Amino acid sequence: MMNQMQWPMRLADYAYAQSLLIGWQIADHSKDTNWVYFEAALERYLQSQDHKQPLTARYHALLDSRDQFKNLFALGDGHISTYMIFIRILFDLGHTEAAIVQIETLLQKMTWLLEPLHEDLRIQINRPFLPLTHDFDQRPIQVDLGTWVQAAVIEALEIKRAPSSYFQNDLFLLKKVVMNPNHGAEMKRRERLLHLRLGLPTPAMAPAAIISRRKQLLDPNRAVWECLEQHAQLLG
Amino acid sequence: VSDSQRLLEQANAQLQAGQSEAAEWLYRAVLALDADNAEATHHLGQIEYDSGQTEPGLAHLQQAVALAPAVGAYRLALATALLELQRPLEAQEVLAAAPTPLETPAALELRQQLAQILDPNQTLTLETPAALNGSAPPAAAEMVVITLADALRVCAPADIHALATYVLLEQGDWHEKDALALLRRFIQPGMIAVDGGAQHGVYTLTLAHRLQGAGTVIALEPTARAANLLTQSVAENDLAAVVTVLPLGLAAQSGAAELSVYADRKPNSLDGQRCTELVKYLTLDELIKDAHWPATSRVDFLRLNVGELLPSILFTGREFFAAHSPLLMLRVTGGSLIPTALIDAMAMLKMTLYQIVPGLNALLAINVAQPLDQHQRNLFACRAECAKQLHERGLLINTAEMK
Repeated sequence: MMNQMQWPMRLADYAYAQSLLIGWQIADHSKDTNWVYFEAALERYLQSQDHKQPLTARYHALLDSRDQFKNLFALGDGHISTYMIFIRILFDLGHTEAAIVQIETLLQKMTWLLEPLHEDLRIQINRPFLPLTHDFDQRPIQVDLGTWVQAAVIEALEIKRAPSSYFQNDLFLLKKVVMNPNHGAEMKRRERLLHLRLGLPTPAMAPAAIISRRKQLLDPNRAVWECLEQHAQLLG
Repeated sequence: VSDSQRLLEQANAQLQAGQSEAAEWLYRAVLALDADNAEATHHLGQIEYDSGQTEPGLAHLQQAVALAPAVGAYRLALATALLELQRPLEAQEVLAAAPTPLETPAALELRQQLAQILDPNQTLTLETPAALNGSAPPAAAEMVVITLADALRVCAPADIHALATYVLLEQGDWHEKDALALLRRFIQPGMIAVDGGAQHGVYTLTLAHRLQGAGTVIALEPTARAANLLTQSVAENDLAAVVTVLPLGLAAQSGAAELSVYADRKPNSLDGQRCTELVKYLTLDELIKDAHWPATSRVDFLRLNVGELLPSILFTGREFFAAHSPLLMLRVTGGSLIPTALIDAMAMLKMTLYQIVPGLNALLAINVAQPLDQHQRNLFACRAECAKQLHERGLLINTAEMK
């Protein structure tokens, strides 16, 4: 039977997915008892992201997809793709509290997400997935999929658990994610700010001499950082 | 009396006598016999924490609260420790989770401290207006100009402990990204917006930037320091033609009141010296009669960042809302039910409350009987005619269509 599903085409718009799409399409899902339900739920979610559709229809699709993923959990499906997309839907709906509970559950079930991965270990995910937050949609995979997923999960928790690290003063997650090449620029800034605020040594930055001109242009607040760090040094 | 109970009494006696080492040993002995003894867990945690063993101390304080959620003293000790560790949000959550509100003087004082730290400019003491201590307002601190992701430049204190400075550097934007994303779509050239409680001005500047030279933003900021910084930000962004900064706040009655503000913050500490500043307040009805009121046509957007005064400000704005039908943006506290007074105010104004659906960047009517998500910071409200326009612009989900 011809596959009428749109997800391969829709996911092709996401940078992280491009190297994974073929694998997802040729994977043998015949032994995956929940695959049909998962695929339908994914399809429905992607319909909610279609800007050409009327807003009400998109909202309807978002609610349907949430319910379909809930049903997958009820069937005992604990696949990482199910968790990741379900958490994303909760964030999309503004149910942040529930989404954070789901991230914590995911971390309890899959403890490898917080641990350094052995260099020989290669994580594969046989179902298609979307990252927990839209920040990662266009972030290509650096090094390998396992570290990319780790960064996606840790960053989502770090960013969503409080409005700012100002309220957390907690370096636990940041220390894990800044070592990961898939982290976003905000994670480094969070680490730097917390060190500055807590009076800790500033994390090692690239020597000024090798900072490229382009990088300087990309950080329009370089002078502000220097001012605040000098201020802290004088007072320290 | 069981062995564990006897040991607990001995431990308490040692603690009262100031023999904390002996007490610690005895509390550990109690827990060896009765691992779920909340009292021993709490005291052990407090001893550890006080002696500098922060992590195990905090873990035991947390465990004690989990074992005996209704004991206010355990909760208060945990919240105090979290505040000392500069984790005010968690401290607030611990207090908020009490089965019955903690009303002891210590709890009230702690709650007030937390409110001041989490939202320094919202601690309004609406008592009889008093003179300004005979002293000048705090001198403006050294300033930095932070460039945001959309190239707006915001003047903020050169102080890493200032919330605005910290968050703007961290995120390249204000942390209420969903609300700002919606407003960036909503605001159009020619509109008139009022930002009540503008503070550092990210909302004012964002709205003004989108007006593209046509329209007005009226920014109300009662504290001199924030108003000065905002005025400088307006100049930095060349937005003086569309922004008017008025150094006043909104309240349920006009007059002056003392506002508690941070004069200065010491490095690596939240214990900034506090001072009071005499500020001017107007009701919404008096605002539109004020000589400074520049708007000549309808107000399209009104942001009310006014803390607990929100319902009373709405109730005392009848003439304002008779003349204007704006989209309202209301600062709320997440994790609880919407206050009855706010629901009553909405009914009086014939408005519906909405929340953002972030994934669709659109508004959705909320069920006021449900508690708000703990992370909810803002709600929106408007009348039917405004809702119709928002729906037509793809900014509001019409649930009636779904039915």
